[in-house]
Amino acid sequence: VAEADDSEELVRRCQAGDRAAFRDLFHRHRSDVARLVQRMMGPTADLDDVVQEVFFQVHRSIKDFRGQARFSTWLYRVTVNVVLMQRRAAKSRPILVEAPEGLTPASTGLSPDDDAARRARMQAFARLLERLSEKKRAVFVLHELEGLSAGEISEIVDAPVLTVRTRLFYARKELTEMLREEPALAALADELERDSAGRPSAHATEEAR
Amino acid sequence: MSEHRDVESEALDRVSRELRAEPSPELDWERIEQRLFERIDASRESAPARAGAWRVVAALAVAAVIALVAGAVLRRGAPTPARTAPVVAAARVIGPEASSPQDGATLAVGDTLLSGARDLVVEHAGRVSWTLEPGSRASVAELGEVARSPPRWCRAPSPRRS
Repeated sequence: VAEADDSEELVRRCQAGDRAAFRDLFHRHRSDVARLVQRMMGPTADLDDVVQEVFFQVHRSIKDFRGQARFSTWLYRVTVNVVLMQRRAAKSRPILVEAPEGLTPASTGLSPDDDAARRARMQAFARLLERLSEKKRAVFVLHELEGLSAGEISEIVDAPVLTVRTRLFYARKELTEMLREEPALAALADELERDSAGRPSAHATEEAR
Repeated sequence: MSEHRDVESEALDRVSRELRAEPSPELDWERIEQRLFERIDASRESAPARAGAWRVVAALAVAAVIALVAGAVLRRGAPTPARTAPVVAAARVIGPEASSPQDGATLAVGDTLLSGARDLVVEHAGRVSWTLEPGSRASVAELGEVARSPPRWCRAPSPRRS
């Protein structure tokens, strides 16, 4: 999460009821929140609503933020809690849908075939993440995709660092074991296997160009 | 097997990297912002209403407490009235030496009639008379219209002969 130097001042103004400051805060962090929500929930039609709910909760509880942690850590905590709440409210796993237009940019510089393969891998990976438990998924997303440390994650998910590391270990283990169940990811693993055996694959050739 | 696991682990890292490289989703931010602030405004408007409702509840609670306290003080200051028991005629035991016949109109709930060695006759003037056999006991459970038979205001256990 991007954190500007004046974040503290912005938060203080929000706590004082400054509407413009809250709007600034929203503009500054909305993309990070949307990205985290999407990574935790997968491609979902409710993304707008969940992001809106996160900022509504931020507005409601920002007065309780005392600055013990970085604002971004606190914001992540709110986001994770809202996502978990939404999922529990749904009482079932969300139905994965095709990524809406605009969620997966086409301008990746890859050939149409490679881009299609990449999209298939993203969707397959989202399905695998979906099969993890809530706790393991949250830790995996925060560490592997958001790049947070175990210490930061422990603050966000309110669990000891050792627990975070254990969840991360098992999340990786389960994902690795499930990987070949998804054809798009099995193809990637096969490709990497061929590469490691010294036979250049079409993908590797494409990447070398 | 472990080589396979290594390849799969590498594939996991690779797909994680690809997902990390994905930019944040582009949403209709204008719409989200508009709805967010509408919601915030709505919650602010309902907050004073809730506060108003709480003020009314609090005022009622305070009034109730004042009434209770004032009542207690007034009761303490006022002369305490003598405790009066409900006016209930003391239950009588009629017999076994009572004169016979007894006037049924004088009976009250709770009265007990005992017949000794002789019959005890009870008369309801102009309506009915009934007899408690010697060595019997009856108590008045209810007063009501005196019927021809048996009088329902009277419960007469089985006669006990002495």
